[in-house]
Amino acid sequence: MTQVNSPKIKSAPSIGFFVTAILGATFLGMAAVVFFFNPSAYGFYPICLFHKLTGLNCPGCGATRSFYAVVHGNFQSALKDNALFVCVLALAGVRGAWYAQRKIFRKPVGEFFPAKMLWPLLIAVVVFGLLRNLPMFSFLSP
Amino acid sequence: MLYKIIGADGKEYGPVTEEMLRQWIAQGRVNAQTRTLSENATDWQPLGSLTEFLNSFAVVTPTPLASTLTGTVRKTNGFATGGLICGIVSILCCCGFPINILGIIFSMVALSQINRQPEIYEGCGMAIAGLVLSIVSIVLFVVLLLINIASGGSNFHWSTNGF
Repeated sequence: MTQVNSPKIKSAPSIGFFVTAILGATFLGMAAVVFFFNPSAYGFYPICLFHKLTGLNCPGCGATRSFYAVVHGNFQSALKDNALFVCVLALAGVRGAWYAQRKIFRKPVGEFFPAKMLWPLLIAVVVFGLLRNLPMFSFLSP
Repeated sequence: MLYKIIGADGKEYGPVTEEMLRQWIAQGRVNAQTRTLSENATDWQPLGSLTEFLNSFAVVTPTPLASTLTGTVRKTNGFATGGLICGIVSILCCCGFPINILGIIFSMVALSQINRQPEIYEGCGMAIAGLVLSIVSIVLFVVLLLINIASGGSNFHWSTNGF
């Protein structure tokens, strides 16, 4: 028998592919907006109602300013504005790069964010939110 | 007996032997819908309709019942995890307005996927939790917005008012 080509394995792109593409595009769009419009100077950014009403800092307060500092390469001021946000961004970046590399070389990958990591994330967010409102840890507040 | 098939890329492959075709079925290169022309036939037919291949499809595509009986591990639906993360973040951080919308969308997608293929996915509870947290977050956002408007959007700070 002569050697024949095998049919290619081709499957339709999954819904996860589209969601990743849309989220990626949204992230890049937001990065572009934050890059060109300084959150400290422009007032069109959504305000934190929790902060406005209570005067306390929520775990997300300062994230926009922190993102502005990150895209401008100013990591010291990024850490000052929202250290947790910078850590999460860095971890997501590393994980994303590893995940994309596994996908490209068609190696088996698990989930991007395993469900058992939800508790550590929740605890980190709550602890960070509490600490940054204490006078002792005021260096965590923006 | 030799067969020709049309692959997923629309190209014609073969003629190949029955063993080769079984190998392709096992590798997922062809499926029951693949158009096939057998040697003694005059027109193209779906591979699954040929009697000699009927049982090979029964083997490679186990029924949902069989897979649960053999103890296949169901995996957590990714959208359920995403929905729950969005729910938690939107509750805790700045009543995150765009994030709770995202949380609702992710949780709904997760619920529909889990309902459609319960033999593959788990995480129904997580999806519901994400949905509830996202909705609570939107309600909270609206309430805070109303308080803010009622106080004239002025410097109403509990912390500076003796709290």
